[in-house]
Amino acid sequence: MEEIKKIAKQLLSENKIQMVIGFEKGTANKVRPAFFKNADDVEKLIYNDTCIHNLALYLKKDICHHIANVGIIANPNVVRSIIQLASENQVKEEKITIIGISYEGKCVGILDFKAAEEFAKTQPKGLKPEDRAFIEKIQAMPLEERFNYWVETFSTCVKCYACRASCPMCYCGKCNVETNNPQWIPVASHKYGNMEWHIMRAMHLAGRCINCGECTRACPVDIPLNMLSYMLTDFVMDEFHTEAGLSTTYAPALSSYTNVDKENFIK
Amino acid sequence: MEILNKLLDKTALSTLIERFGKAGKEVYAPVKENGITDFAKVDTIDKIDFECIATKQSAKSLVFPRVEKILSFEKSYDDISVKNVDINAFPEVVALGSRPCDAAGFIPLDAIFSTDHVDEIFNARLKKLTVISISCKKADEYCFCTSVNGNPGNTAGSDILLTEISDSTYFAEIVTEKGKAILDANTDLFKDTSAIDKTPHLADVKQEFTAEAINEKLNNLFESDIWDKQALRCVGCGACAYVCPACGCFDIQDENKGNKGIRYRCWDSCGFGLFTLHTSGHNPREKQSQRWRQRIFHKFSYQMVQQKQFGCVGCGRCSRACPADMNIAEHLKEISIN
Repeated sequence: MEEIKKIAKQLLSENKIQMVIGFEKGTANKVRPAFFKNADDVEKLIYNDTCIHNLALYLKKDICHHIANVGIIANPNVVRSIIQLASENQVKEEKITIIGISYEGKCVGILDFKAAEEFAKTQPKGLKPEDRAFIEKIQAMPLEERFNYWVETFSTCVKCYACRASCPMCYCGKCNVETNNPQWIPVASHKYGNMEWHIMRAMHLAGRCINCGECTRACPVDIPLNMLSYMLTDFVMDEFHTEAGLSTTYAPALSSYTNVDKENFIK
Repeated sequence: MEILNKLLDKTALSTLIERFGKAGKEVYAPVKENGITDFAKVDTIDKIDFECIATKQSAKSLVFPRVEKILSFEKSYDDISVKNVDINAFPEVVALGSRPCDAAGFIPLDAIFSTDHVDEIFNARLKKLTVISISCKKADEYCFCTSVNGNPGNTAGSDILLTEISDSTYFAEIVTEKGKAILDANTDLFKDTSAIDKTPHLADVKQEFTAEAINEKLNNLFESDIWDKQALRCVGCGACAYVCPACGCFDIQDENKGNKGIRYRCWDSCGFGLFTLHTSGHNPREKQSQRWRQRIFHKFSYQMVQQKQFGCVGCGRCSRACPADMNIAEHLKEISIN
């Protein structure tokens, strides 16, 4: 942690960056995102293994808009998110300084985008053995049972959109659910409204989700919706042999075409 | 009415649930499922989670469901027929094991739905709701009821308040006529007692500020920079509003298929950018900080002016649910000493 602070302080005092996005002590033994604008503030910066929020979210918020260069304390999930955002032309390298933290919590110093790509490849994904077991259980279900499982699981959704609001990849200025002419997705959080929302979101994240699990962490009713994204990541890997969050020149599987793409779905 | 003091054996609760069922009443209580405790329909006592400090979601959906059908319509060549939802078909509901803050939440909610315009649907549901709360013997670091005129043994909003005074017995306070109706129908279960001091049996929730002090301070804080500072980390979701027992904002949605359709009332949140977006494209609350300020002002200033009622009961659900730790009690405490 001291090393992170040292780097952050130096960058701020040399005016190489004008703000650091990191963590501070929150309430009830929690940590929370915090924004440090000068070296003295950095004293409050903390980093421990509960600092799992995906801070890349804030790179697309108002707070970063008028800042020449933003430093960000970046664990592997944040690094992957930044790489993915870069591949979608949402962040510029000259406006971000990545202070990398490995999955073991070790500071790896400042990463440019090329170094970030290399770093991301060395870091294991946040899929825990119990997550893998859960996915296998779902995948073993017959199609109808699997569909009913998700209908049931999503039926408790209250449509607070915390999943969307906490996702760095959900950066659309106007989300599809906010379009009402035509109304693609019902606003009401009844059974089908919920199902359509989550299917739509999963489709928009297929091949783009970096599997940080932030959506599920944010969900006030603990819906394991990240599992659907994990399953789609597997699917994209199997079918297209690509993975999000590893290359700034990545072309998302569902919005790009290559001459080796299978066409066996055309019948 | 004057509160009646009674004793109720814990075992009598299952008899009560059984009798409610026989009388056609639906009983909702905190039930733990997949690790989450929320209000759910029960027919036996063993499903009830009595240890839960506060359910994830409040009890408000019993009177203000997250999706409520309000009418259906059908167009013909030269006419439209509209059919209102049948409010007489709503079931009699008993909320059992709600906390005093849950019960207190129905008061500001009622004020929202009954000031100026009396909302028929909400009031029909509220009229058919009986609230049997259980005082809190435990609290957590998010609870702040005592700072907003509540307390762990508060009777406001409950029809009957039960306080556990021993492993086998509740001290039952019969607060309203609805509570008395339950007492009268079950006289064999309630025993007489004189008033009992509940304090030793209640959780200790430290008072950090007063709602009145917040109300006073807000008079000069509309243009303050505290809103910008606080809202920096807010992600702009609606989790706080949706778990809040006192948030009553809603959105009206029509869903049609061909010539027929249904009109729904759906929960909405002032935290959403879309909430105040005008058709012109102008948004009077375009920044998250303005939306956060609205949340605080509405609960601690506007509602007091309009309805003589604060819009917060200190249950702490918003703070527990917030993905960015926007702890409202911490924020209000800062305002109070500002």
